[in-house]
Amino acid sequence: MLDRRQFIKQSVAWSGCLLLPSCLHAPRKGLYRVFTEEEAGCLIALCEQVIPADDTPGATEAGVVFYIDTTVSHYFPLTTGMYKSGIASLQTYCRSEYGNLFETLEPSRQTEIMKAMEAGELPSDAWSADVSQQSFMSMLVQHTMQGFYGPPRHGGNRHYVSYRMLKLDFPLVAGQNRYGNG
Amino acid sequence: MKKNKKPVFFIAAALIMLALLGGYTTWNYADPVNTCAGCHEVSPSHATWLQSAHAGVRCIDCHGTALSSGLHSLKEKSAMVITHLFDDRRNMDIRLTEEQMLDVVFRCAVCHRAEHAGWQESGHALTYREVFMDAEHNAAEKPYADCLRCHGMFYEGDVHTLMSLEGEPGEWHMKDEKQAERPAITCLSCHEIHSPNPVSHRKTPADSSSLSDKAPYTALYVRADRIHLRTDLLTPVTMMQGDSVIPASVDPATLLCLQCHAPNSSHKAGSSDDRTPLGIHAGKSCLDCHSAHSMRTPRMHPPVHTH
Repeated sequence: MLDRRQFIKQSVAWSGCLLLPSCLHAPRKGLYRVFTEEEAGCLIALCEQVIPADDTPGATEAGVVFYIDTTVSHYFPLTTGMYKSGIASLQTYCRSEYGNLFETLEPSRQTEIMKAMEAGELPSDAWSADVSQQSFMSMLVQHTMQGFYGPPRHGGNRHYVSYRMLKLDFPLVAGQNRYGNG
Repeated sequence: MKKNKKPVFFIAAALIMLALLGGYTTWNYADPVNTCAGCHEVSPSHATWLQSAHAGVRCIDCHGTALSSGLHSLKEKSAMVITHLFDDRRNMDIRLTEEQMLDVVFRCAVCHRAEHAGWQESGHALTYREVFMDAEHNAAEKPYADCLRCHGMFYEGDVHTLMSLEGEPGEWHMKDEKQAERPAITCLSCHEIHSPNPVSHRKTPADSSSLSDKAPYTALYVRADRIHLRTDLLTPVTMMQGDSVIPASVDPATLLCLQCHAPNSSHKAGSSDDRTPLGIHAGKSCLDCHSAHSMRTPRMHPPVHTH
């Protein structure tokens, strides 16, 4: 049986625990739902290779990585593992071959690697992912295109960069019919 | 002798209340990184807020606290957390409902009093009833989905959930009286609170009518995508008078106005709701004559919009 003093002490201690969620909460690092900052860095470089910036913005500025992150998280959770293991294998290969991460390599080198990946020519001992090199590339290209050209409501195409690049009339400036006399 | 346990329970209850109050206060005043932005659906908004002119304004100043609207917010957020944790469904993107958006908008007025007063006396302070129950308009044209692109950008339904369109125009009525009295065009129709727009890079009224590398104050809310688009990213429109192209302002503010005060599909000046100035006023920005919020026209005289 607790005496009064013990009861008060324990009440204070346990009540204090109510504060813990806010005190002990570890702040999330980064903006991504399924990817780590490191994985996102690699993914950004990959997407930028698919749609590079020139005189108009590329995949990075369009926020394609956010589209992929959101889409994978929300609609295609099964592809999360494919992305993660594909990125991990790619980084393993880049580290062993070039001593650096994919995103830190020269753009021309990145292109070479991606071409090899597309042809399934990266060494099989380096590529230990659950997904084949070609499937990984195909998925990446498909999602990059969707994120770049699709509506911004899905997370990509930030500020309608692709619509502006294509000179689409958007948002469409069109008044009401004004009773048919235009 | 029987012990009186009442004081112990009173003390315990008081301590629990104190702890809850402490937790609630801590939650409201702590760094958002440890509170609101800890939720990953909120973190993108938090990131843009950090870069915005409102970065010095606390979350609760605009969004209120968990108890601002009674237990409604707590109930709503708890339901989202439960859904997220146990139902294997995710909250794709947290957005304000129209009701919550209006709560935020009314809090804008706490700091932006002059702007709010200007808006209140302007033609933009229309209610849904004033827009959709306009007898003269309804006699000529039936309301349709695209009306909400400008009148009711944040409405969470379509024109058929907003009003009954059965029978003759005189029989049409608003379905929800509370909704009918809500303002249809609010601050967030033209402004993005979390816009990455530091004060040091904002335009001053002096250069409001000219293009510069500074970000504009304004952003168009695109209902179709439920996002804001900075007005300096809007595409300039080629305006026509007969077969001739006429000078038209490329000021972001004017491009914003043009989205709703829009010409017909041929971009004929003066058609539909277009107000493109002509003659010696051709090429002028709307803000050269109109006050940004009240739409007053201290310097305007006819026949600026005569076509």
